[in-house]
Amino acid sequence: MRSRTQEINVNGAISVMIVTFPDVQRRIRAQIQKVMKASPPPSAPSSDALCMIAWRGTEEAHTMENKLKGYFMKKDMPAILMLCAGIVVSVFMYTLVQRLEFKNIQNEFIFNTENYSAAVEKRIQENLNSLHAIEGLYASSPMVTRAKFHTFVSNILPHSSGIHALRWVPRVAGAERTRFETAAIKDGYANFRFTELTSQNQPVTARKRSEYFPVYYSESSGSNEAALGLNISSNPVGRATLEKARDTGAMVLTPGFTQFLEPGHQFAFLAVQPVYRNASLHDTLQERRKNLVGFAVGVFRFGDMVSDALRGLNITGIALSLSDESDAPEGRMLYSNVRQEDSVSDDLTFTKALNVADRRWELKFLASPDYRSTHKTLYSWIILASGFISSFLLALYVLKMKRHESEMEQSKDTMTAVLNSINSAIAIVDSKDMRISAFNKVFIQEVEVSEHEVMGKRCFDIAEGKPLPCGRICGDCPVKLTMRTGNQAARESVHRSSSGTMKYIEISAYPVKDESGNVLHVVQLAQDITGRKEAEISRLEEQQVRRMSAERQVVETQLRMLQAQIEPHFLFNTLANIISLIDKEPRSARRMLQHLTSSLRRSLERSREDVSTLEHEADMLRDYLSIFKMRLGKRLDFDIEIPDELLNVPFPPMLLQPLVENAIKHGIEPKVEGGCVTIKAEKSYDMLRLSVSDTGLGFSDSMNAGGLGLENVRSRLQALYNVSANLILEENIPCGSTAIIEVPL
Amino acid sequence: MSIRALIADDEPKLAEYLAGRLSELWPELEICGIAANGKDALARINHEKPDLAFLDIKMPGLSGLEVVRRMTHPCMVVFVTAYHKYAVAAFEEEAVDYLLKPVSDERLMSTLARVKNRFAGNEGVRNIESLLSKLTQAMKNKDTYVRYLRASSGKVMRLISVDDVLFINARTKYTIVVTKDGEFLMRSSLSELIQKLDPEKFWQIHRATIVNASKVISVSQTGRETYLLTVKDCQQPLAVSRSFIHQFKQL
Repeated sequence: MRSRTQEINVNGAISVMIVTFPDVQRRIRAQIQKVMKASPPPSAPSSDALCMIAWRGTEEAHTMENKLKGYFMKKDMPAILMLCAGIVVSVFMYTLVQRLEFKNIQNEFIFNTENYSAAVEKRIQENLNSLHAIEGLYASSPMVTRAKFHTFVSNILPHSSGIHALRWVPRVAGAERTRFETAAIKDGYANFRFTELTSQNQPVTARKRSEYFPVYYSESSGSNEAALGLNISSNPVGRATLEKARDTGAMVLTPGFTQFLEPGHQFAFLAVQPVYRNASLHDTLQERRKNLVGFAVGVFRFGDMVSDALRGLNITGIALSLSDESDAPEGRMLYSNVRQEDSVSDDLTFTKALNVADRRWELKFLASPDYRSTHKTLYSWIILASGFISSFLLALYVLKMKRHESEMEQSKDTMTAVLNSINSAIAIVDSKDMRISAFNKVFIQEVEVSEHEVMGKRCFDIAEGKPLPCGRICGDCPVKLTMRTGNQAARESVHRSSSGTMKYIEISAYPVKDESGNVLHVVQLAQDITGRKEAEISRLEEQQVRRMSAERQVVETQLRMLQAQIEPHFLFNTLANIISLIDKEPRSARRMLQHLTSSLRRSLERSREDVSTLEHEADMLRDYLSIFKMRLGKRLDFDIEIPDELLNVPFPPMLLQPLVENAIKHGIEPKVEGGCVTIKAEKSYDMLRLSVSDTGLGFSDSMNAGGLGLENVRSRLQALYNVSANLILEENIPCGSTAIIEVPL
Repeated sequence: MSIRALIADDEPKLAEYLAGRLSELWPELEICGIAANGKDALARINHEKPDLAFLDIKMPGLSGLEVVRRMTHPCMVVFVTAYHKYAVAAFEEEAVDYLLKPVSDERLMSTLARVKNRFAGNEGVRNIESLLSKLTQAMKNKDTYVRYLRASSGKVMRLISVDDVLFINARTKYTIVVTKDGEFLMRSSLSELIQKLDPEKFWQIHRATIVNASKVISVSQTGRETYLLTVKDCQQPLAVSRSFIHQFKQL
């Protein structure tokens, strides 16, 4: 992830970090901490607001810490859920696969055991068929000797180890007993006789009966000569079996027994096949009873039969049992190699019903735990493990994504918070197209438009017609300057908001550069420096006022001195008049001299005084005007009207003098007929209003020439009263002019 | 034939005194008249044709200088003045006769001697033209720009110091001068005014507006080509038209 940060020093008090590619929380936090450490409380008065931002920044950092804690729980839930779901799915897949695998094993088991059972059934059938073969032998040859039987059976026996013995049990009528016994003895069996078993299973010579069914020929894999001569029908079970076989004409099987406790204590059974007289009918019961010759009897051993059937087949791990379902429950089990522990797992079994002669057997296969384990694969475990791992990785990814997302959000929030916490308008301008990509609240307020009107707009677009200091032609725009030069730029400007108030704005632009130094963005910071500026201005003004008042004092004194000076022209003209009068009109000369003296003395006094009274001023003007009156004769009249209550009003000395001088010089003297000068004082509200009117020439272009005196009066008024005094020049009616001084009382 | 002289002074006592002193110091001189103002003096000179004229420079009606310029009868002129040193310097340079008020007998006598000498040598008025031009120049106000504007408020005509003017605005029929005290009407047109006003102090910012530069507080740009001027004591900002922007760009 690429990230870029730009540090902007705002007056050195705080660093605002602009993250163009929002990196991580810690950067911002580190940044704020850094700022906190790096920036000591700023002392410059302009930095107060920024100091506050710095503290706000710390607060932000603290709350961010807390936020992160709560956040961890809430925002990580998707990842945790993802992990749980992944585990559940993995376990589900695992069980599914296991089940499928079991099903496979089961199918294979059933397939195999079906084959096995078929083999077993086939073997049983084959073994039982040997009795049919004997029946066939008797059917084909009328006379079957012991040797012939032996020869015939010897071909069969070696091939089936399940056949324990094959016997011929003839039907012997009571009368023929001796013949049969004799014949047998003759055949080499010296001890042959018809026997029967006692209740203790001890063979004894058979009692005399009407009919015997002795074991006459017997060929076995082992030796069981003991059975020869045994009358089977003497035993109730044997008799019932024989009679059933005789009556049905079909093979009949005895229940399993352990009569011959021979190798392996195997269960064995007898199969009895009735043999009827050759070519005789045995369709009905009577015919069958009548034509019965004897029985072919086979002794079969289950164990050998089964193992013979399954020879060459791989039955590792499979146990089987054979039971007789048509027998009583306690005697059912015919064969079993099932061990005790095998029976534990009964989910892998296969049961096959076998109909053997008149019996119904059940062949049952059982898989041992070994079988299961040998057939089991690691797929399910692999799936489980890979499921766990992948869901963990997925959760981790989601966690990371969420974290990243939240970090981005957080950093964006922080950015917004930081931007908004700065009490200056900030906009980030894309350098490529001058479009605004970010801004803060203050900016919105300053621009007085809504947010959507700003985002993505060019700055001069929104500035058009708005109270912004920038327009399309702003040649010295700091943003453009920064884009061009890549350096920081700033500019102060004055602008007017829509409400008409003036603002001083300092616009600073800071570049955000990429690695190769190209300017990507420009952060435009507009600070309202009105307060600072105004303070500066008022400070300057204050200084100026102070300086000015000092200057004024000097100026006022100088001007007063100037005005107090007797104009040489006036003085010499007056003196000339006095001289001219001395001889002819000594009284007039004396009076004029007195006025002049008085006037001169007052001038001298006034030039040393700051304040005079209206009365004193009036006296002086009276002297002055009296001199002129004498000089100009009938060409001048004058009148001074000052109400008594105003006589003692303090008044700047020599302030009216220039106005009176002007009235004489520009009004009366240039006018051939002369005129009248009137000085009036009156109170108008809280102002003292003094007017000097003349009926002289009035305004003309020559007024410019006499401006110096007026300028002095104006300057003195400014120096004495600042803006609260007025000097007004009006045209007098019907002729001449009026000068009015208004000063606060 | 006796020499005839005319005395012109607006102050009768001085004229009488001078006449008295002349008759005492130069009894042969005939005082043919005393004029009380410039017009009277000119009429009497042209009518009575004196040989010598004692002219006060500052007189109502016409000044002494104007009288000399307009008189049709050539006569010797002695200026009598209490005027300032520049004028005096001009007299001395040209070595022409002058009398300074109050007139002392010694000075008057030397002047009279010079006058008599002139009459004897017939030197006449040879340098009078250059003297006049120098005097006129010396008297001329150095300020070539007006310092006051005549403007009316209602029926009252006022003189308004140019320093008080905030700005001047031309309307269709008249011109308005705006000060902090209000608006005043002027008869003269803006183009006439701009001639009379000091271009250092007054700037034309618009076809119809002249502003007092010392009253301008700030200039702000509001649009592509729009500048507004804020003037002291004035709520309404003034618009600066495009052709006058250049004055502010230099600032």
